[in-house]
Amino acid sequence: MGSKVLIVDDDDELHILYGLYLRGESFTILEAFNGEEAFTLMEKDKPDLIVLDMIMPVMDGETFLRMIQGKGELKKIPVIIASVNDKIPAELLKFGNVRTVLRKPFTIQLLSETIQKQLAS
Amino acid sequence: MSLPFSEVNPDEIPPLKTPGAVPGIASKSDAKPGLFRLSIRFKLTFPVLIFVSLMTYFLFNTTFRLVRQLAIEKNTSRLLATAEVYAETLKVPLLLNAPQDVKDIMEWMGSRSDVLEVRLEDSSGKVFESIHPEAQIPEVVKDPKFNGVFTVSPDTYAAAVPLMAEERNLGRVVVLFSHLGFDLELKNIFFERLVMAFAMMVLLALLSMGVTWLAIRPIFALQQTVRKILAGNLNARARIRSFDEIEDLGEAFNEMVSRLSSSLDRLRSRTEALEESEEKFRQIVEGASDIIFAFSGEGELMLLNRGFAGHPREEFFRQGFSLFAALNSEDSRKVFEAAMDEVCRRKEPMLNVPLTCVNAQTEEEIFYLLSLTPLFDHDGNLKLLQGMMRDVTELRRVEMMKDSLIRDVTHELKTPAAKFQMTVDWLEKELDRQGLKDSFKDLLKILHSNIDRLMNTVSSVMDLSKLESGSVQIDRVIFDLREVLQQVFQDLEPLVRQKGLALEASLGSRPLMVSGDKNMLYRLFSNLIGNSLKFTPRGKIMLRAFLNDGKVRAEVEDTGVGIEPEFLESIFERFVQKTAASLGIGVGLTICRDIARLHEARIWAESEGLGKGAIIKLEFLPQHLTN
Repeated sequence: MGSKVLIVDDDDELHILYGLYLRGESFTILEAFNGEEAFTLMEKDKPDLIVLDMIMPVMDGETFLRMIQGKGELKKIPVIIASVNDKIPAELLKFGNVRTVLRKPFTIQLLSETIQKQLAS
Repeated sequence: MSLPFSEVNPDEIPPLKTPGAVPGIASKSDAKPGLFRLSIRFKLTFPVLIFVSLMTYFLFNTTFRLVRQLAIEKNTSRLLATAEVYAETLKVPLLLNAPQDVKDIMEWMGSRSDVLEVRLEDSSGKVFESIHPEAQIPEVVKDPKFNGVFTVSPDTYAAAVPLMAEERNLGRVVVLFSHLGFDLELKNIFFERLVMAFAMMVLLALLSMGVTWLAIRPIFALQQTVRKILAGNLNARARIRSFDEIEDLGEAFNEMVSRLSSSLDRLRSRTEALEESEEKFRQIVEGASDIIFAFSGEGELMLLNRGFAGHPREEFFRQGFSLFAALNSEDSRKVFEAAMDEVCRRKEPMLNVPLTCVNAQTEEEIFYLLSLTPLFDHDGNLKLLQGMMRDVTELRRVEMMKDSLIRDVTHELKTPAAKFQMTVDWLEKELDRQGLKDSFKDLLKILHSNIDRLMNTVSSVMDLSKLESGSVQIDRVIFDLREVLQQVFQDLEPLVRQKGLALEASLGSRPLMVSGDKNMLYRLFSNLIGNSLKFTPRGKIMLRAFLNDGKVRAEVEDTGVGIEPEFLESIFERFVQKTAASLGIGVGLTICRDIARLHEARIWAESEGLGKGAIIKLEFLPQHLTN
């Protein structure tokens, strides 16, 4: 579909795996390894959807999410949280852009489906 | 701090050494000034002596008078007789008219020592002869008509006797008798005797002093015994053999001392036993590893077995409740105070309230589990609030370590497995793209199934570990169970359909409120459906939820292979599997059971037998009963 998906995760292997699969599904993949990088990227190239890992160095997912709320255009981008953590603070789930939470590990198909579903809505 | 037992030191029981404590026994030096004291001997003898003296005197007096009277009468009659004799004697010479003879006779009469005067009077009263004319004759006797004896004094009498000769009154004879000193003699005699009597009285007094002293001696013996007892010899007894009331007193006294002494002994031994017991319990309490404390109904700290959190015991007693509260971290303080309140209010114990305190010296966090038990008196008033605090810091640390270990292990197992899966998926897709999928079909199948198996096993084991380690905390929320069931249905329906089965849900139109953790319940039901999926080759799986008698019931029914009656309970056990070849390690239902337990819900299986399908049923407690 040509949609741009920003993967924010500190695990490079996951980037490779996500990228391989999702590019095969015709997504354009942007890669960031932490929240800060994600910000920088987004300023230049606005994605259509963000897949966000929570635990990252430099700036973690929670901080990133909070920061996004202040950025007019950016806060509208749908976010899929992908995390190992059981406990996501309820507050974060209330943000308008957070659509759903996928618990790692998930199958790559599930990720793909979820992305498609969220982009469709 | 002593336990709320009274401390009685038997050596401190006052030995009655205070003077005057035993009245009457006080020695002269102890006697209060001004207190008049009269020995019982005097009290006994003096009245008697005085009475006897008075009686003696009275007796002597009356006797003396009586004797005097008697003597006077005797005298008068004798003197009258003498005077009559005189008269008769004088009559003859008078009648013979021999005045000289008369005079001689009168002289002779008068020569008697006790005759003061003899006088002759003629019938007219004129004195014609007298030997001592100067003698004083009382007027009464001078009267010529007087005849008889006149008592001038006990010593002096005047007798007048008529001279009669054949009816012719010749006159009178008057004789004056006097026995001087008679009265005095008489008085002397009596006085002598009286003096003797009084002398006897004095002797008697002395004698009675002696006798009474002897009689009193047993009392001294008793005094002696009392002094010995006061000095501390409780075995002293009075030995009194006086055959009287004092002996009785002595016996009674001994009896009393014996009884008191044995009471005292009993008291002492009881006190000793009590002290021993108290010591024993004190040691147990102080030696206990938990912190044991108790507050009175008024909030005063009565007992604390040791100091803690960097504060010494004394400080707790000084500051009391406020220090207990202040030890806590902020949130914990509210919990602590609320717990104390609730226990007092509801009058029921509260167990295992978690508290977080800070060590005053090291500033480290200490975790306690607080248990409070209220104790009441007969009227239902709060007598004592007893509490125990168990230091679970280490436990908690271990648990947190366990938790992070499990988390880490989970992560370390799941992530590679996941990546494995993703890699294989991509490979499959790529091969498919290149048209090579068929050549590698079997290999891919093996890869897939084994990765699935690995993932499942890892998940199950990890979940079970978490649940069984008790380190899972439920997020208790009250919500409509249908939400979760709806989600499960949505998520698993594709999977079920993929296998060629149908997943149906019938959740009713009424809300089914339960209290629990949404995620865990999601897990529970997806496990149940997954389980049914495993054992149902064809047909359908039905998910139902409804209210049954006020309780929320959820059921997962399948048209699968069923469960034999003997396995209906054991399927929930760990590692129990229908067949060895079944996928997974057989902890799925165990996890369901554990989750159900955490939610205080009942879970059980029903089946009509092999080949007849199975239903797993779940029933929650009525909402208002859950915490």
